This record gives sequence, structure tokens and C-alpha cells, in this order.
Amino acid sequence: MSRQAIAICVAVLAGPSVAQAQFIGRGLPHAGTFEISGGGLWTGSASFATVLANETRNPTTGSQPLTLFQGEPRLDPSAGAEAHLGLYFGRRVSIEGGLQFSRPSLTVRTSSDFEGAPDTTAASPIAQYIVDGSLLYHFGAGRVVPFASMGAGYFRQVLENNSIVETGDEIHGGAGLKYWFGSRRRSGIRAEARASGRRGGVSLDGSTKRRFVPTVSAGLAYLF
Amino acid sequence: MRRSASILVCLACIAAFAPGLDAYLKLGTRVSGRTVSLEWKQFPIRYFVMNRGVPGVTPNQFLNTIIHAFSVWESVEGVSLSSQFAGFTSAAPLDDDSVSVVGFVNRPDLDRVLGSTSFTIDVVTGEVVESDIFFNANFQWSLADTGEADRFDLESIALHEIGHLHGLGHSALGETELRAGGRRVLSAEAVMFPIAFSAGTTLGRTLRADDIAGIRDLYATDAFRQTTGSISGRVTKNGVGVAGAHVVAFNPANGKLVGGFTLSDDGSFVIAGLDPGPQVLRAEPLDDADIDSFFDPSLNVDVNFKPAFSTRLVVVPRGGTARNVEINVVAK
Repeated sequence: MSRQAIAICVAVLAGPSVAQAQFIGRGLPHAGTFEISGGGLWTGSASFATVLANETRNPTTGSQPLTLFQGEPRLDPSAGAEAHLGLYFGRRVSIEGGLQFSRPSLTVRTSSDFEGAPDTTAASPIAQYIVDGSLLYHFGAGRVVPFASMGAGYFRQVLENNSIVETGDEIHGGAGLKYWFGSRRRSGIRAEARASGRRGGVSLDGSTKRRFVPTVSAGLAYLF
Repeated sequence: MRRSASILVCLACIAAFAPGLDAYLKLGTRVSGRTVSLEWKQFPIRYFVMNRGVPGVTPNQFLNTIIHAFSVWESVEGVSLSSQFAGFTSAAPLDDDSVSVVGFVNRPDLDRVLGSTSFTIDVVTGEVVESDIFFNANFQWSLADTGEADRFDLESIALHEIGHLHGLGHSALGETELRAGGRRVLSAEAVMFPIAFSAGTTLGRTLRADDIAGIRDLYATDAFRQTTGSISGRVTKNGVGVAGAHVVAFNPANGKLVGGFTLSDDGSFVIAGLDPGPQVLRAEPLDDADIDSFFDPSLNVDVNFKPAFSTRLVVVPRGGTARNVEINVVAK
């Protein structure tokens, strides 16, 4: 009798786990599942090389250019928003397209003025849009799902009063976590950190090299 | 006494800078109560060359140097300019004879002047009808590609004077220092800077961004103007406009420096011919000693303020103007 009771008890305790495993096995995500997500975004700064406002030196007074002042340009860190739409090819692999928007400021910090002008930061806000595509690999299928991502995109920077539009390309790689709520696990939260390498766009030092900026994002996700 | 570098390249052109002129550093004049830029309307600009040489420079060498200096200005991308050598003449420059003449004149009395440009203007239309350039034969001149010690480079000075002939005024993009015997140039970033580099150098043969922006402001084709932009704004001190401030636009992407001035009591300025993109703006007072070579005495030039930068990184639009830029300065 007591042995039977124990057996039932084990069955009751074990039951939900078996049921859960069976549910996940049939449930989301699977091939053909879509994931939509969106939330907040933080983008780190992009630094440019120090620039010099040089004048041609009179040869009798020296051989190096006379530097009127120097500038340290950068694209400031900024907050923004992002959204993704993904498609799973199985439980582990998905592709997604994303859209990001942020409003960083272009700044140039001037210093070392030849005539003693005070150090000043000149700034101009810009609007920045990124459209990208990513391949995601998910490690596991539990409530907490780590993932890695990589991809490429196109970005567009709109300067002051829409006066100038600059474009460029970007590549990125990163990692993140998804945490799914409830028994059905359709909705959850998603956080991701990326390194984004951007080439093109506005240049404040004349260089065309790719610049890497960190990005961190967090938001809500939904499977359907 | 050694003739140091503190020699004015240009005495003063006939027309002073005009208050209210809303453009780059250009020469202007009053016509029918309004200010107009001094510029040529008829092309090619025909000029005669005086058939007189100086030691080290034959008349033909002089002619070739002048032709080349004209061609340097005419080769600036986007400008529509042309000139034509009309022949040698024995007539001297600076005569009011409706003929433009370029030549050497010995003026030992002008012992700090290497050259000068003068104009005759149609007072109805403001059009330039004659412009003469004289080079002071009292100095030693050089044609050598790399310069010659103690001789001034003729091509450099010709480029400066022909800039005036086209209607450009002086640029303040340079630094000087006072020393015994006068003011010496430490640096310059414009052929149109009023004081020449020391004798022996040919660095003045190359047009700088400031010169190029200036000539484009006057003679750019309409199509080319759509590829450049301008900045307008005010320099203020305690909320009041500052007249005579030198405003410099610096393009961090390519290092180009282009200057302009506030030309009226409300402190307003316009700098044209700029590359599109972000620009850093800096305002500074003129050096006291330089004022006469830039402005008409009627302009109430304020030099009592400290250099300062704009807190706005100004984005120059392609084919348009970035407006309402304000640079606040404080008294010294």
C-alpha cells in the first residue's frame, strides 16, 4: 500500500516535468515560428582621430605648422529604440531583421587654442537609423535561452535640419539572453549586447575606416 | 636695415570693405546707395604688361609669371574666370586710363609695400573697368622654383595681387608677432593674408581653402554653388553685436580653414563657399595693427574681446545656408 502511494506520488511529481518536456517539444519556437521584439537601446560613443586646425608656418619662424587649435571629434553615446522581426528555422536557429533609431550628438571638443580661447564642446544632434539582418543561434530551449548573433546592416544619419544625409554599412556580432514567461512561453524579455562595426556615415576626421561601437538593448519579445 | 618679412603685400585697395556686405571677404563699393561686390562682368579680363624688367626678371619672364598667376585663379574648380594678355605697354600701372596694366614701378618711398592693386569702377553699375597692379622695383625679386635667399617670390606676390584684381580683400587667416622693425608673420593659411612670408620662400604660390572659397563666392557657376554651402550668424558680446570680428570655419573632416568677418554693427556674418558638413566656428578680434588693411575706418571695429568658439557644431547644407549661428564672446 505504501509502495503504491509512493509510486503515485512519484508519478504526480514527475508528471508535470514530463508534460512540460512534451509541451516544449511540440511548442514554440519551432521551424516557422516568428518572433517579434522591441525595446530600448543604448549605443556607445564612436571616437575619431584628433584633428588639428593648422596654418602654414613662415619658414623663418619654424618648420612645423602652427596649430591654431585642436579638436577631438566623436559621436556621443545615445539612447534609442529598436525592433526586430525574426523567423525560426528550428529551435536553435533563426534569422531576423531589425530597425534601430537613436539621436546621438556629433561633438568636437576644441582645446589648446593658440590665442587662449576657452576649451569648448561644439555639438550637433543627428538622427540615426539602422536597418540590419542577423543570424541567431540559441543555446538550449528552456526558460532562459542564451543566444549569439551576427549580421550586417545599412545605416543612415540625418544631420541638422535634414540638411545632409550620410549613409554607411555595418557589421555586428553579439550575445544575449531571452527569458520566457509562463507555461506557454510565448512572451518574454530579451537583452543583447553587440559590437557594431560601422563604415561610412559622417566623418569628423576624414577617415573612412570602420569604427566599432558597443550597443546594449533590452525589451520584450513575443513568439507566434 | 634688413627688409624683414613685415612688409605689406598690398597697400590698400581702392574700395574699402563695405558694411553690410553679406559675403566672404570681398571688396565692395557703394553704388546708388547700396553696397555691391567689386567684380568683373566682362570676360576675358584684358590686361597689358609693362615692358620693363628688374634685376633677375626680364619682361618676358615677368609676363609668364603674370599669365601663370592668372591661370592659377582660373583653374579653381567651379569658377568661371578668364583673362587675356593684350600686349606689352610702356604705360605705367596706377594711371587712370581705362587700361589694366601690370608692371614694376620703383617706389623707394613705399619701403614696406611689395605690391598694390587699384581699381577704376563704373559708379553706376559697380563694375570694374580697370585694375592696375604695381610691383615695387625697390625690392629684390626671384623667379626660382624653390626661392632665393633675400628675394621675394614674384609668383607668390602676383597671386596675391591678382586675387585683389578679381575682387578679393584681405584674409585674416594668419598669426603675426610684433618685433623690432615691424610685424612678422608666424603663419598664414591664405594667399590673401596681407603680410607676406619672409623673402626666400615660395609657399605663397599655393591657393588655400580660404582663397578658393573666396574666389568661388565671387565667380562660381550656379551649378557649382549648389555643391557648396554657407553659414550665417552673429558674433555678440553681452547681447550686442560685435563689428569687425574675424570668424573662422574649420572643417574637421579635411582640415580646411575659411574665414570671414562681421561687417556691420549688429555683428552679422556670412561665410560662403564652404564644403557641406559639420564645421567648427571660432571668433577672434583682429590684431590692432591689422585693422587698416581690412576695414574702412567708418566701421566701428571692436577688438576688445577674447577668442571664443561656438557651442554649435554647424552643419553646412549642400547648396544652402546654415543660419542663426551665434557666437558669444566676452570682453578681455
